[in-house]
Order: sequence, then C-alpha cells, then structure tokens
Amino acid sequence: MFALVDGNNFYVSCERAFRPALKNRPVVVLSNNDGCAIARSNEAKALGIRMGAPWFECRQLAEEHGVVALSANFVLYGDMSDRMMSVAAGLGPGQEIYSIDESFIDMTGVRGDITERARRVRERVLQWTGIPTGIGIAATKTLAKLANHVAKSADRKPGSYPAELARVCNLASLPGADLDAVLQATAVGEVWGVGRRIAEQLNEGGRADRARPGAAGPSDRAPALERGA
Amino acid sequence: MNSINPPGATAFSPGPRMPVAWVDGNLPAGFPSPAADFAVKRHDLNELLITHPAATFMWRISGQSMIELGIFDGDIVVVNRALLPAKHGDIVVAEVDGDFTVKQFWRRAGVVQLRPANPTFPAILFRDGQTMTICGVVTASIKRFK
Repeated sequence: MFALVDGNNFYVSCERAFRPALKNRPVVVLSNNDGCAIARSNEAKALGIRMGAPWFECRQLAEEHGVVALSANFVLYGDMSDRMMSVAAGLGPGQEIYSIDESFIDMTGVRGDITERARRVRERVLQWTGIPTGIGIAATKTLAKLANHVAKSADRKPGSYPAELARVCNLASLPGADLDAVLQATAVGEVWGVGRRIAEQLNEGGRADRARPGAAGPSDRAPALERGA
Repeated sequence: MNSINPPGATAFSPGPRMPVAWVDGNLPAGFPSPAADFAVKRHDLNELLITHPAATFMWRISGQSMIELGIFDGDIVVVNRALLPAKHGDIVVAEVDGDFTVKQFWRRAGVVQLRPANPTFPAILFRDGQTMTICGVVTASIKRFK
C-alpha cells in the first residue's frame, strides 16, 4: 500500500504561509527571471492561466484580474519542503521523496484505519507548516497518484468526485462499484504514464478504468499500455 | 619482482602461518586527558530553543505592543506551530485581517481576546462569527545587544 502526499499549489502555498494577505486572491509564482508561471493558486487556475504559461502572454489577463505575481524564492520552498517531508514521513515506515512537493509513503505494516491516520497527518502538516496537502492512498504508486488526483479535484472542484474523497482519498477502501464510478469519472490521460498519444489510443470510450489492470481483457487495451507504458 | 629489489636483498617468502590471538579491547597509547571523565556537550542554542524543528519559525518583531512581556522592537521570536491549540495566557502569533500580529491569547468566560502588553494599545476583541487564526505559540524571544 502506498500513499502520495502532495502539497497543493506548493510554491503559492509557501508564499501564503508567510503572507496571509495572499489568501483567496489569484497568485502566480514565476520561474527564474520572471519567465513563466510555475505555480498558480486555485483562483489563478480558474482565470485560465496555464501551467508554464509565459508571463508576457498572461500578463494582461493577470493585471485585469488583480493577479499577484511573485518571483520564485526557491530557498524558502526548499526549506518548507523539508518541513513538509519530515512531518509526512510519520505516515508510514518508508518514504520516497519524489519531488519538491510530493513524496510516496510506504504503508506496509501500518495497522488500523489508514484513511483516518492520513487525515491526521494531513492536519498536522497543515498546522505545523501551513501547507495544505492532498493525500492519495492505493495499492500501487500509479493508483496512489490517481487517488491523489481525486483527492485534489474533489477538494477544488466540488461535484467532480464524491465529497468524502476530498483531501484524503483511499481507493483501496472503496467498494468495487464506487471504485469503478471514480475511474469512470476520470479521464484516462490523468493516469500516471499515460500521455497524450496513449490517451488517444485508449480514448474510444476512454476513461481511467480502461487502464485498470484486470478491468478488461488484455485485447481490450491499447498495445502501448500492454508493453508497460 | 626481483628486478625492483636492491642488489643483495633476499626475496621475501612467507613462512609457515602462525595463529595470533586477537585481544579484544582498546590499548591506550598516550596519557588520557584528566578532563575526559568530565566532558560535557557544549550548549547548542538550536537544541535549547527548538523542540519541533519542522514546526518552528523565527520572526523579527516590529512594533512596541508587547514590551511589558519583554518583547521589543527588533527582537527575534521563536514561534512553535506544534503547540496549538493555544492556551489562555500564551503569547501567540495570530492572523488578523490578512496580517500577522503577536499578542497574548486571552480566553476567559467565553470571551476571546488578543491582548497587547502595552497600555497604550487596545485589545483585539472577537465575537461570534469572527474568524481568528492562531498560527503559533511564541516560546522564546532573542534579544541582541551588539
């Protein structure tokens, strides 16, 4: 069993932890030399500012809507990442830090209600560091990534998934029918490792359950995915 | 091999193997420091001031509102976010109207206040429906004289 703990809009959340006036406002963090938007608050995402969008392209839109644009402060983000990781490590016996804002926790041998445990760890990360996170739990890392996507989407866009999956989503605890419903509601391109091309191949009817091992016969799936993509 | 030996040297050949007893333990080779038995660790300010490294932040104070509790303009306060929820009497960092402020947390008879420690400042009162976020508890104040 794996959990993926991932900071929400991480760079923006780091800035907000020290500047509460940025809460509930559209905020973007720009890459070195203020080139591209590399983190966007939910409000900025809602305005249609894309990930990686060059700042000169979205500047006019941003100024019209009062977007706060910040130059990246990677020293701060690195320190906040260390703090977040060390608290998240309490979730289980093993940790693989996958990027500045996400780490996989190996949940092998953890007893009791792991969904409840994850909720408590999420609260602790939020209280201790000020960083909101999403936690996805499932049998494999790929499914944990997907569970994390569900946890964040359900939190950010109410109605996209059942509300009880918001923030912490344990796919392993869902009854089969509910799991199928979640996968049905997910575009196949959201599955880790399924890019644009494979998504196109899978997209005849393409929801995420197409990529679920054992969900359909091998002949039912695209050759690329069978090869282990 | 012979070619690198000086003239007249005999070539080394290993003799019969001899077992050598292994004596466990340390063999002192020098006069031990008389102070060794009294060695102590030096004070580490981080250890002294920080109990939760992941949850501890330092802020520089600006303003005079807490002088009667010994927190002055320019001091650095150690703020622990793991000690929440705050208790009556704690010195806290609170978020009020989009800004951080340091005040004393006061909760008596259902009334919550943030009290300054300076008679020339007003207390911040909270009533039902108002939100106040306590972000951390001040555990130390660092004052530099030079």
